[in-house]
Amino acid sequence: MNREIFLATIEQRLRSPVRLALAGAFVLFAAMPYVLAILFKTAGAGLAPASHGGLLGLVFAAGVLGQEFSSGAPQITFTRPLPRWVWVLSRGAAVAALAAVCSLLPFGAALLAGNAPGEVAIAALDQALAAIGTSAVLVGLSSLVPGLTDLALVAGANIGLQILGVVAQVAQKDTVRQGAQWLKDHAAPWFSPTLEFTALYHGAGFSPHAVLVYASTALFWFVVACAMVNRKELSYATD
Amino acid sequence: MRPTESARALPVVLLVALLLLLAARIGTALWEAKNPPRVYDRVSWLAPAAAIDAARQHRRPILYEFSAEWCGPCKVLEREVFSDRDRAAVINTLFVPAKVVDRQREEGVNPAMVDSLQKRYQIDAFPTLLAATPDGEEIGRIVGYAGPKATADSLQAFFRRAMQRRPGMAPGMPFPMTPPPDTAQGRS
Repeated sequence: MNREIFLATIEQRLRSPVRLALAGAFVLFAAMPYVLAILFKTAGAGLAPASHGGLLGLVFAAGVLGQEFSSGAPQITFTRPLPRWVWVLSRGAAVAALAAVCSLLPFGAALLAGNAPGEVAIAALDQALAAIGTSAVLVGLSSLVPGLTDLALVAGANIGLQILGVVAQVAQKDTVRQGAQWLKDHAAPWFSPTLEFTALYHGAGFSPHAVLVYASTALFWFVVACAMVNRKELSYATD
Repeated sequence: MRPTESARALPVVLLVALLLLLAARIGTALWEAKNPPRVYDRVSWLAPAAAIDAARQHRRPILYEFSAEWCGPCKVLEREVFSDRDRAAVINTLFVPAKVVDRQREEGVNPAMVDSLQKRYQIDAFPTLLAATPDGEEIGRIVGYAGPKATADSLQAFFRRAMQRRPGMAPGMPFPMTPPPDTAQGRS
């Protein structure tokens, strides 16, 4: 991984007021139940359901490669003898790290609200993994389309999954219903990989499949991104 | 980068790792379809007595789940409804959930509370989801398991019915996630 690109990407993301505002809103919203618990002295009321990790991944990873190609920056970057996969890895790791760190912030408030540290740590880990997983998906999608169009792909995928869910509920024929449900169950993890250690912590059985789904999805999108970036013809780039 | 290495080269190890992970993903999917791992019940079940107290205090209807260890459809209900984040959140927000596990087959006798609830509501099949007002009046019941959507729709309808009968009732914050007390399941 290239340290300069990693740090430059973090700086670039933190200089975007829109991204910061959105990330702040998601963090505040996730922390709100604990802040209220502290204010109204109902501390220790338990952990609220959270889904901000994936949203923070979306905020920080949207356009991580596509926007760069739209701006023409890689034309200059690749005049240096830099392997393209290292560039993808460095940018992807930067946005994933940023999203993961931000996803931990609301759990500070959860600790202050008197929740058990073990429970808080596991819930924080779940959200950090969701942030990293979503960032990996966005890295892949961002390599396919210019600018911020990767967000449209995410939205399209989610709409498609919702339609499948509706078909799975209302279709008249059993085969259609089961087929739609099967398709939805198997397609969804490709767009929102998560690993839930909370379930494991509370006594659910360990699922090697869940770990493999997460790892293979993240690696799949990274390889897609590398392959797409390798296909780009850039003037003055070293081969 | 080494002088002979192309800037576009992708480490072979990445491709091999991806292929191995995808193969293992398919393999474990097939294996877990036959041997599903134990699920995590996300509903914050209370013991029946505690649930009645909480329902009166928070002015919310009680949702009893009458089930048994040996009951297959109860496991499907648990996997598809109680372990589902959104559906469990609906239950935790609209109701005070109470689990009532039958131990007749395993231990020959049920704890008094389980017995009395089963007799009071004339439970003759598992699973039975029964919604009741805090003072015990039945609002509605689902006998057997009819699928996640039908179950969720019925529960929403029970809550609306409960609000019509006792206008003061309203959804509230979910109760803290705690494992069901042994006494509620008759395991003491």
